[in-house]
Amino acid sequence: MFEIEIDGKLVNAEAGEKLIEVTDRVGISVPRFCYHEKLSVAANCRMCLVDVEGAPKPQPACSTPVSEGMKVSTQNEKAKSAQKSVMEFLLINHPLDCPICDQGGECELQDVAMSYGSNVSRFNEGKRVIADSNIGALIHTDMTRCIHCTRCVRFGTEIAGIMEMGGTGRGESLKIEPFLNEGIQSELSGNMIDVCPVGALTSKPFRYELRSWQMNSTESIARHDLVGSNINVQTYKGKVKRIVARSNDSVNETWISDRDRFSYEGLSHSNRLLKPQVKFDGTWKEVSWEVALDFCVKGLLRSAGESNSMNSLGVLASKTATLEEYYLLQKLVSELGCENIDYRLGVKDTKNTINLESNVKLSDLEKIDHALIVGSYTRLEQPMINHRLRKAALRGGTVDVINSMQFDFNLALNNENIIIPCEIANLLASTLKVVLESTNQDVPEELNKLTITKSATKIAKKLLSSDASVIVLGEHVINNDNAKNISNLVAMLAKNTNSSTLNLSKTGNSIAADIAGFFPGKDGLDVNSMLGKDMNAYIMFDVYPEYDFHNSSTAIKALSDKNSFIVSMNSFYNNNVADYSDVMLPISSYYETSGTHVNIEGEFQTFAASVKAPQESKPAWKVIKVLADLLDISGFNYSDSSNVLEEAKHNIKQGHRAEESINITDTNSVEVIWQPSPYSIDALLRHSDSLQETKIGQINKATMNSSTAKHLNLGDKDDYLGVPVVISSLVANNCVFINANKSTPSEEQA
Amino acid sequence: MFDKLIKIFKDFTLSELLLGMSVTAKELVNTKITVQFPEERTPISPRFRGIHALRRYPNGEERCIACKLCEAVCPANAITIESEMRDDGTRRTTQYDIDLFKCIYCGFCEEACPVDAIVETQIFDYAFESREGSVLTKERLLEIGDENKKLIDKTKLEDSKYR
Amino acid sequence: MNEVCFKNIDKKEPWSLSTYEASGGYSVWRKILKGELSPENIIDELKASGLRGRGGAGFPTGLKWSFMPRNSDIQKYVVCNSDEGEPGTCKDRDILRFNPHSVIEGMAIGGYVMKASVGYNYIRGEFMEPFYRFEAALKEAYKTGLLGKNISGSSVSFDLYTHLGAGAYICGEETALIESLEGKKGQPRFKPPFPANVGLYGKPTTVNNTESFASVPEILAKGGKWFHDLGVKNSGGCKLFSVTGHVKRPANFEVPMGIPFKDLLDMAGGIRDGRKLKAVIPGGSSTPVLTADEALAMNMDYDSIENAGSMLGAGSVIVMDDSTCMVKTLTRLAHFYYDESCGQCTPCREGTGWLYRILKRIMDGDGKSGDLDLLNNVGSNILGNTICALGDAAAMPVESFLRNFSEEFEYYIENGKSMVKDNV
Repeated sequence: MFEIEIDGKLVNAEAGEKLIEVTDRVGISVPRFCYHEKLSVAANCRMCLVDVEGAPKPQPACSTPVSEGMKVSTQNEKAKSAQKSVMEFLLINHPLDCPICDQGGECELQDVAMSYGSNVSRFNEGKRVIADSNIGALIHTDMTRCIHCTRCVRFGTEIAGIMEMGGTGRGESLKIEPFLNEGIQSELSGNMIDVCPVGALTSKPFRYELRSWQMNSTESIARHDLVGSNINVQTYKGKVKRIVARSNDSVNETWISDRDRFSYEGLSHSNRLLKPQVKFDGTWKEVSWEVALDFCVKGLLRSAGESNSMNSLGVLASKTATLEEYYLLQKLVSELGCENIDYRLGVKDTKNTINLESNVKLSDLEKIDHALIVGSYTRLEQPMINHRLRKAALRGGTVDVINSMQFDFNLALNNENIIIPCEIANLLASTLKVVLESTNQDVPEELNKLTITKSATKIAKKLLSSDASVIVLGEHVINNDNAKNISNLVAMLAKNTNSSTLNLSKTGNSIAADIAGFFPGKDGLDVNSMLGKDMNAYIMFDVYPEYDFHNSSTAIKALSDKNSFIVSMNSFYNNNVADYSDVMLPISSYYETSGTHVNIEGEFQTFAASVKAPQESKPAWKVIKVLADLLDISGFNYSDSSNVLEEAKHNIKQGHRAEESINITDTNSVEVIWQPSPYSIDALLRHSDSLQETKIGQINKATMNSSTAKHLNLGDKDDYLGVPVVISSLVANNCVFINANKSTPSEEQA
Repeated sequence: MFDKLIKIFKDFTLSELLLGMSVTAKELVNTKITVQFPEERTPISPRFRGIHALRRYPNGEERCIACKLCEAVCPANAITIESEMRDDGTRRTTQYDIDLFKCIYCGFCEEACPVDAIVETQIFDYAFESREGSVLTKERLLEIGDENKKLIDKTKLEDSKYR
Repeated sequence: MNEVCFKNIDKKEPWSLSTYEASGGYSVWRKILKGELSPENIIDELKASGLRGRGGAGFPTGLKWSFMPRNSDIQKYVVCNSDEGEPGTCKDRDILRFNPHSVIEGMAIGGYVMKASVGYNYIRGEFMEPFYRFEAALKEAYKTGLLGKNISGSSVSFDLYTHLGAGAYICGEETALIESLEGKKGQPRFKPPFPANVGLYGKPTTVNNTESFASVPEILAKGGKWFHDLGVKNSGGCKLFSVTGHVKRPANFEVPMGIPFKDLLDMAGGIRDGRKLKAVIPGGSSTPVLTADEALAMNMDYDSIENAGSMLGAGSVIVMDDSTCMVKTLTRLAHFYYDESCGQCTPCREGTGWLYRILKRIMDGDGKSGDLDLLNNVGSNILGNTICALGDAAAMPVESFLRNFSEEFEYYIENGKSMVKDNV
């Protein structure tokens, strides 16, 4: 730490800091375009030139390291004239189309030009014009406006990890453009819009709709992944018009995934459920809330019994509710004397699934020196977590993978094990054996008969030799026949190698569901037992059966056959829901209600509603509260969702703790991993048209290798479980990896 | 004393009456300044700020590009604009409303317009019969612009040298 | 004349190993391999010789070599910059053609001094003949056991590779050259950090000009003092001057530093018959132009040329007689920099194009009265604000042309045609 002088002011600086970091910290404004605090220094815009005493030329503040005794002027004649001349150069070939430019009003070039630009142009020659290419459904390009700061290029290579944009040509004909004609495919591409200082890259769905000054901005939390990225929701006349990232270094830094950025489009989809509806004699009628709720109460009391012992009531919720909604619904149900409550709709066997805690901070994740990823394609499934892992890898950390398919990771993999799902448990078990043996511990009996494979030794050695390692357990194994074993093995491995764990299978807001106690009570039924039994009534919270259940047709059949009384609260209309329900209550979707998201760190992130729920739809927590009042249950006197949160915080529940035992079963048949494609994981995403148009949104394939295909008698023009077959050697033998944006498999198919 | 004598003299010679009568007599022969509105009109400055109009380019294309600067600058919040991308990829308004009850005819919208689309014409004698009539829609504004194209072009040309 | 790099030029097959060895070649390298010369000795000798970088900047070579972190164990590199692209310069190609072994020996010595076991010679993309010559020489050197791992049983290792560029002028800038060598787009890096700390593949690297490397063996063989005394104060030794333009016998001349320009002009046969000297660019197109009087009064060494208002640069003397239209010349130069700007940083990317467009407009007869001020102003706005020296190189000629020949420019703007009647 030493002192330097900037504009006559003495300020503290740290050795190795760049000048601009110091000026930013102490609040001295230095104009800049290419500098971005999360990207490498390029020093190519030359806007931040300042006068450093002793240097013959003006020096760029972004690339000049501070040194003791340095005297800097950002305002003197030399600095100002350098900045002004660079500003003029930047403007000579920049079109004067601010009035139709979507960046107008929030444009860095515009802002800086106000203070450094001249009011007359001395440039009388023709301006440069650049033809645009279509780079996909999310980003619109106007490359004539580009000032070649290369932020987007650096974002691609450094953060997104795929070099999609680049500079071609030289001199005046230098063009920033994608190298390939396939458009931008990164799952983080939307951030290029944020980093672009001018209107060269703008949001396509938002194009020409509004000016930046027209919108109100509310802080919110994106809920499509386990991170809970911090966002600003920008609204206009009660509609969400745009979502931009909000900086929070401990969560999402300054980036958000495309999912979080563009999903808002679904909010105004024509498929929204907007009015309460009641089924009279098999036909749907739009009714008032009073009538609908009255119908619910009567129906529940009629079919499920007394209001304090509703044993034949089943309550199911999707993974996307807020903590408050989970808590209130859980409270309501337990007051009704019912324990049949579950949110794990996609789990084949809730007794045999992952139960693993996450115990690493997101900001620590980028500091680990080794990661073992089991059953996850983190890049598309949890982009922000993958970003942290990638940072760790770039810092010299290593990453091992145990998957059933070879994925296109954007980080260097040290050791990739592609094995059939049933072998994952074996591999982990023999890894554990190696770990126990090499740390001179007793090897449990179950592991004794295992033979140690080379890959197990490799994985174990890496885990043992790393000081800070993490084992990441992903979604692909939730329905593995050995899911519980895998979960336990990972926990034991972590314990014996001093690794942290990260459970990525708790998608959506399911950590909040656990905290709120949204799982079957001691004598309660889980989702599959409910569907298998005669439940007289159901309350379904934002459930879309063909996507949410592990086996769609069994579920739908179970729900429609039994003639049960079904209350559905949904934000989108769904045919199957309409088929089996008796009442449909329109509830708020994302950004329309206040609530809390609990992220993988266990961080409670509370957000306010950004807009009112459209038409007659209502915030779900209020609906549950009124339902409780109508059922004459006391204790629901909440005026605000924050009251609910307070109460929920005092009643934090623990999920079931699994016993540590290992009992691996073997299968010989073809194994299927069903993973919804990244942009189909919840209802809002499925209704976001632009996201659906992207390459990632279009992913819908059942990948298998040629011998599996032969075994199943399939060709590459066939469908498997309703999903087009792709034959590729990337998948382990005897395994089908399905990435679908369609409904889950039905019984007949499976 | 002397003043009194003068007053008596003036009173008896009826000089003040005659002075007054001379004005009347002069005006009797002078040309009349009364204008027969609406058949006759007084000259108006080219900068007069009357009712608004939206202009078109000579090829018939509307000038407005939905930049919303007029909406932003309007001190009375009289302008409401909605925009979208037209099928040919250009930025256009889908709604352009001026509420004449709110408008204070300051002319800021005209000043702010980068393409000289919204203008205030010399027309001040307009009326409407219903409350809704106070809102000039995009169609109406374009209509006013089309009807008074010659007038607008002329006044803008006259004013152009002072801008 | 012709005492260092060109000493064998009149011999038969001067490029062959045998010719080179017969004149004492590789004697220094062999001494090093026997362990008779320490790196410190070599650096002292180079410092004494007064050898300054021959690529244009004129930084003392001995000093440059001493900046390398010699004693650390990390991989280091020596790179020879044979990307000779400056208009007017044609000396390095002749060194590669006629004396490639001196470059190899010089680089090997450099590698030994700086403990760099790998060297690269970055040769300009268009130089096919020099490339093949150098490659052949390299093969000879390897075959004779002068390069490789643990050469002739010593602890010294040095591997040398040739890299052919792809025709970008900017790759003559050392950091752009390093980027290009790494397989990236040739764009200069910002400094600091300098290549001596973070260079090729992020490792300490020294980049020297071909002529600098080629001079090293002879200096070490005959002693730094001998070399230094060939030239004058502050400009030791002799230097290759490429004399081009309107002279009767354009050629490369290796002459002692400090010889009068007049003598150099005479060596090149003087100005074409019936013509008068009008202007001289003494150090390649990036250096300021001098008028005939200024040129005739100067000597060919760093200080004298600087006093005359220009720079020695790479010693590329472009001679122009009175048939030259200076507007046209400057337009051509401006086009060169406009075409060769890499486009990375703003002032150069936008400014070179602007300069060229204004000049082109003047050439087309559409010049305006304020254009000369504008040219000067745009030039000075580029100057000093760019990452590398290309921006400066584009701006400097503009200033000097306008200062020395302003009446020609004014005439062109006023009359829409050149003041020089018999301009071709």
